[in-house]
Amino acid sequence: MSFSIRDDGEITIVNVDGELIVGNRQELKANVLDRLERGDRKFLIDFSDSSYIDSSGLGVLVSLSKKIREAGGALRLAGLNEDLRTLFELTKLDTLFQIADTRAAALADF
Amino acid sequence: MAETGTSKVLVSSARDDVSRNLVRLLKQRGASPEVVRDSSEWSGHSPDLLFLDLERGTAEVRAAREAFGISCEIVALVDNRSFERLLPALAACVGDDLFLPLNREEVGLRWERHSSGRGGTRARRGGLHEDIVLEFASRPDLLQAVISEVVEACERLAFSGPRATLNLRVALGEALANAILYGNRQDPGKRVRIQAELRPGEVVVTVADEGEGFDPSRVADPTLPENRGRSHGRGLFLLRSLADEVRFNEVGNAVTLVLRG
Repeated sequence: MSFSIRDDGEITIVNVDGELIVGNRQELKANVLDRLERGDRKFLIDFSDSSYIDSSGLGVLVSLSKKIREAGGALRLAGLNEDLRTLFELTKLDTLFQIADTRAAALADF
Repeated sequence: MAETGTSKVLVSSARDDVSRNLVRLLKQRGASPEVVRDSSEWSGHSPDLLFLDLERGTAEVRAAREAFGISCEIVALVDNRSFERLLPALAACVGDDLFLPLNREEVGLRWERHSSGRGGTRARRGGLHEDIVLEFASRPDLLQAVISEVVEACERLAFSGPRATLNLRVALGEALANAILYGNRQDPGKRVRIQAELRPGEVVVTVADEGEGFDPSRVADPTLPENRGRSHGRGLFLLRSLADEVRFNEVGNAVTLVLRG
């Protein structure tokens, strides 16, 4: 997995490329928390280039969402493929996150 | 085992005396090894058993894993100078080692172990049924290679589609992550063992660790509203949701998953 972070106005867009799993989840978490500490508040994590998240990847997203919310910010997810959506639905995390079909839809929603 | 005679053996060493000697000893045991000098000459080869000289460093071990997959058994050739590389090599999934200068009995022993299917990492193939037995160090970075190996075998022999790429992949991933993180507590000295039986329409896979086990009935339901905001505790739930059958052994350090296509 690799990921890139770029800014679109006041929104921080994180693009996840590959798998968000137990071996690499901390890297994503550290980078997003670093941005949060530096004052970023609106985050979009785009999974269009990702095919797989495991339970620890889901756990990191839950933990980030909580920390961002506590700081008065907002987190949106976008671009989940069918398999990823199934995982969110099974774990009922689709009720915890705001999930948009595409990056554009998520950006428009902020 | 009938297929031992067709086992492909590769010797990778830039030291002519080492490879010549090893080939001679292997031929005495009935093997027909091929020889290359280093990883630049590996393409076109896909050995079942690789003798890899650690003189070139442990990067070649990882390269071999990537090039030949998890079912290739790797025996590291070590001497006094490369001895310090042995531990990292073992952690990177090397199944066995041979010390130089070579000893006829030791070479024979490695070959026998391999050809009887008792090597460190191996796949046994035969017709429409396949058993994969893998043992590896408790390192999260080895997970994806192991999962891919089993999922690919599933697609080839058992079933394909989302049952393979989602259900098997995620359920097996969770079982392995539990074994590495919680069972063996990421102690690289402890091993995780997978035994997978694949036949048309069905995969039965057991993941065992060397930990003390746990009581799976005491794990809270992560989908209850009060638990949804927790950052842990979804692995077991996913495993149970995605597999058709889940059985733990009594101690709780081995789990068997059954998935059907």
